[in-house]
Amino acid sequence: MSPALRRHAPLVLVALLVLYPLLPFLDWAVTAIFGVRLQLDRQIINVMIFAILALALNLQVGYAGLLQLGIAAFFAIGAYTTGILTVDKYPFQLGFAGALLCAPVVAGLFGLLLGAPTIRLRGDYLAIVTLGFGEMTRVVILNLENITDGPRGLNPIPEPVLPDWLRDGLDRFLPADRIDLAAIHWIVLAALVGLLILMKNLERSRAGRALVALREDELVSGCMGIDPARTKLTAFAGGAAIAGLAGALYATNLRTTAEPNTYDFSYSIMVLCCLIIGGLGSLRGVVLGALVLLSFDNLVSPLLTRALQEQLGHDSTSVFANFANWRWLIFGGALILMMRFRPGGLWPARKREVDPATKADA
Amino acid sequence: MRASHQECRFPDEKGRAVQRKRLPRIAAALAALLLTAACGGDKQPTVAAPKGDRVFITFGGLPPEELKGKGADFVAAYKAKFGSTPEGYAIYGYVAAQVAIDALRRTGRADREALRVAVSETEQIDGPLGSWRFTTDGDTTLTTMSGNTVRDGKFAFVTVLGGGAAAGSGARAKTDLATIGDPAAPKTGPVKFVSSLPLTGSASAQSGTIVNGIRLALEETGGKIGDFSVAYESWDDASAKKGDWDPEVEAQNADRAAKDPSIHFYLGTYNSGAAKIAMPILNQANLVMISPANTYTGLTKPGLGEPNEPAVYRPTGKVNYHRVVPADDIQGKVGAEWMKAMGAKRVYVLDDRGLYGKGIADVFVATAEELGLTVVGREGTDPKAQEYRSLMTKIKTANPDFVYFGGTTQTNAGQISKDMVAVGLDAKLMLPDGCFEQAFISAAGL
Amino acid sequence: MLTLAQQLWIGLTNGMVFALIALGYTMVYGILELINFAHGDLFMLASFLALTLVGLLGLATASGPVVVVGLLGVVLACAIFAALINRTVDRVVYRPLRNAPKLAPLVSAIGVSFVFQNLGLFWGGLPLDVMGGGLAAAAPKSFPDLIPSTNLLGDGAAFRITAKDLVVIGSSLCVMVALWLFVTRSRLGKAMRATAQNPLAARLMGIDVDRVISATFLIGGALAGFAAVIYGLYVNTIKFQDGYQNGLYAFTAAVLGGIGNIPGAVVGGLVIGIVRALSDQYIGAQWQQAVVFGMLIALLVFRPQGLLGANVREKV
Repeated sequence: MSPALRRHAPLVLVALLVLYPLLPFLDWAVTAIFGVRLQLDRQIINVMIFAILALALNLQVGYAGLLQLGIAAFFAIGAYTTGILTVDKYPFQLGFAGALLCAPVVAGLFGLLLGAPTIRLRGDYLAIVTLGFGEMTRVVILNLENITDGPRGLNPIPEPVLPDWLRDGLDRFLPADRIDLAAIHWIVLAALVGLLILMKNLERSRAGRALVALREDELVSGCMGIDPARTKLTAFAGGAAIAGLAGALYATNLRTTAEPNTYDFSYSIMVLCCLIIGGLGSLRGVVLGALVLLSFDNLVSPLLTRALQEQLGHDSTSVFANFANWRWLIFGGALILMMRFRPGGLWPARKREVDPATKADA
Repeated sequence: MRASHQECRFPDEKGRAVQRKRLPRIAAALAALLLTAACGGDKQPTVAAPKGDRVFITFGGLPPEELKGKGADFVAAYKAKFGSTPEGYAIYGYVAAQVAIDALRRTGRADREALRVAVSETEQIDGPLGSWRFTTDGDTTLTTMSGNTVRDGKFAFVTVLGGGAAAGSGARAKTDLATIGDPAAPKTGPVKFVSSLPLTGSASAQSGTIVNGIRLALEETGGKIGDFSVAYESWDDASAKKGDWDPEVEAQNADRAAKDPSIHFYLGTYNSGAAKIAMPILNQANLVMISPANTYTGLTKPGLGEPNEPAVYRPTGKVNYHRVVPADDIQGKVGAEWMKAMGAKRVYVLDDRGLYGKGIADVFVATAEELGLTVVGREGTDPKAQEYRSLMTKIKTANPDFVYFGGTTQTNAGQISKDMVAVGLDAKLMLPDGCFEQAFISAAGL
Repeated sequence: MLTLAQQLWIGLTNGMVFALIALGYTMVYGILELINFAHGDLFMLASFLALTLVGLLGLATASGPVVVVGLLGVVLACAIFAALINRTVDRVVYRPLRNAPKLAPLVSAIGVSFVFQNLGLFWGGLPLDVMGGGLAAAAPKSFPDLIPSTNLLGDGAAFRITAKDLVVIGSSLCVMVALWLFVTRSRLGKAMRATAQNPLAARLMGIDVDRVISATFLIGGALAGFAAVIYGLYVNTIKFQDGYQNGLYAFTAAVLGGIGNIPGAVVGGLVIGIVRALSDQYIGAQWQQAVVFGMLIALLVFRPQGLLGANVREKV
């Protein structure tokens, strides 16, 4: 790849994503090529939301080196804040925009609340505290029925709508469902791109370098005048807030907060796996990780199941005859192999870029 | 194996014959432990269920063995094809597919609106489940439930519960299907059926048997319905990252079906929570959805769920969702009535904090109080907990004569049954249809 | 009062099982600083082996002495099975990552845990009688009630102590004491403690660190195998997801007691067992997890090194 192309590749990609809702024929082309509907429209939104969540965790684990095993808690807090602020059961009904602003704030506050007393704990102790907090949050949401509707979840969460002039403009050449898609697609895309730019700047800023320095050596960076507890806490709360944003988008996209059990420990672990697969601390890697993970779950696996069913056909009750039941085996194996042969992830962070900068700063 | 097993389960009964003083008794037991620690050691001649029946399960419709006529034919055909006895839900998969097939026959056109109307006007006379039709809300008019117990490692039918007409069950005017929808819709070609059920994870046995039921119904058509050729795809709404049904995947399945013009029937979901997500999506696409397993009341019945239910699932105002199983309001109610009839006075109610389990337990509590049963406690359980001895000890102090658990095999009904015995809680247990599967009996070791 | 005592007793019995699993976590952590996520699932696999063996040997219908001998055999087989698997996984998966960043072996452990869970699911689908014929692979499996749960104090007694409780507590205590003696008295045990304190220094002193690590995995695995049989006998149900919940509580127990600390793991296990029981009695069963983890967070805020974590220098 030529350097010019390389530099512009992200821009091209973003431009493509911006235009995507306007190009329904892309889906037809894909369907024609693969012979099945891949539902790119939904996949892309799911991947982008998952990527935002992964970026949140990346801030905590990848940059700050805080082993966080309960990211799903903040994701849930974001989703439920959105639910409470928008559904007609409550008097707030702030609508989509208000909820989108409030969810990260609330999740961030919870992050501060949890982080303030525990951020000084040694790595693995922090891991278990966050893990415990994650499970606690799920149980509390489930049991506070008066507020959260317990297992029913809060719904319906209103869809975002485009401003009228844009809607009218699009109406002329796009089908209606495509316009609804465009609204959520663009909002999620804007959040993701904005976040990526923010993170890119953070990497080069004083605060970002302080974080990385802390991760590499807490003692030395402490001596350099970095306040470890404060820096870590900021990163932790920031990550929590971003996870809250992801939760708000998730609930809006599904139009419900879904069951509280959606946000359990295994979800947190999956987000962590996404970071690892993509490349811890690498922005491109994290996005790629989200893409790979969700494609495996939502695209490859159903396709293979279908193929397997056509081959084997009949008895659906056998545990072996269903590809879906092999997924953990494959996924677990992939994680093990990754760690062994490509520990930096599929698309690792470029260390060199960071190092001279850090030196110059110090 | 099972006979001796049962002896172990109720050892306190036989202990009475031998009255020894306590201390030597402990010492003797300890010594005996090292040598004869097992129940094999104090084997007794076979006594069938020493305490009588202890576990009672309600189920919508009759158990496979009790089915007559076409129901019995179904069981025989299923056994012949798959080599195993169908689980309770298999027949609902079968009937759901039959409803769809029948609607396609009557319409003769692959048009979603015409098919929706045709399905809603379904009337099965002497079908596998007996005679029934759909109400205007998409519910089945079947209210017949069965009360079952477990004997010798098998479900044993005890009594018919409920019955009678459901609300809104009057005969419906038949629409002339030829006048509905697009008259130019194709009259030949492929028609696709899809099902969306959690094939991975804990509910896979139940959903597998439903898929088998659907396959059976479709294969009986010989792959042809009128001039249409039939195709069926079984979709999974579970994901590896959740290990169970996943809201994202269900939304995606619904969306995929909605946008694929060759798909005309969406058979699913298994979980009521998943239905809540799929319903509005499919409703906007006017695609018929027939669930073989959802029982949460709010999906169809106004006034029994949240205030905005079920309207919230019908953004277009049309009813595209149908279910062939009786909903929880019926089951929770007949459960309480049955319990009362068995002479219960005090009942402790548990649920698994799931949409299904909690919903049915709520209805149960409401009816039980109406009937004059004393609800001595109401609590949720953690379905992932290892065991419930502490909880059962607590329940023991409340001294109920029945425990009701709104939950499923997967949410540990078997363990609850065991731990009641383990702490010497001398009460009976009643469970809803989520436990009406052979897996429950093996899990509970009954 | 009697209820309280009864709940304490139940909690104590449960706690023993958590403690046994927690020991495996804490020992590996002590030496490698690795949270072995797969440990809970190893325990689960061993419980499936135990059930399979119990089924194959026909212990459910056998007479007393046969059951005792059979169970001893099952315990031995499960312990060896889990020990060997644990060591093999270490050799194949973790050892190549000894010098990698700390997250690498942790993630591998998560991967191993996924693989184990999937194997457990398949195991449950085997066409065996004890697996319910394998028709419902994911369903919980009943573990035969081989030890009577008759109340030793008499049928009508208000307090309940069963032979089963005594077997669980007694055998667990024996194993724990044996482990303690091994770690404090034996040569290999001392080598383990030395390695835990400082691997480099231990190596310089002529200790074969790789051998020590292998031994640690063997012992941790054997404990999990033993715990699996005890668990099966006590709880009477096994599921392929059992590794998750038990692992979570056991890991919490290890941290609660001060991770890396052997007596700490036992204390932590007992505390969790008891807190669980009391929360079910006095707060409500649906709050159990929230209470356990809430207590953990509160404790760590005020005592970051865990209950017994002060003697860091003696950790193993």
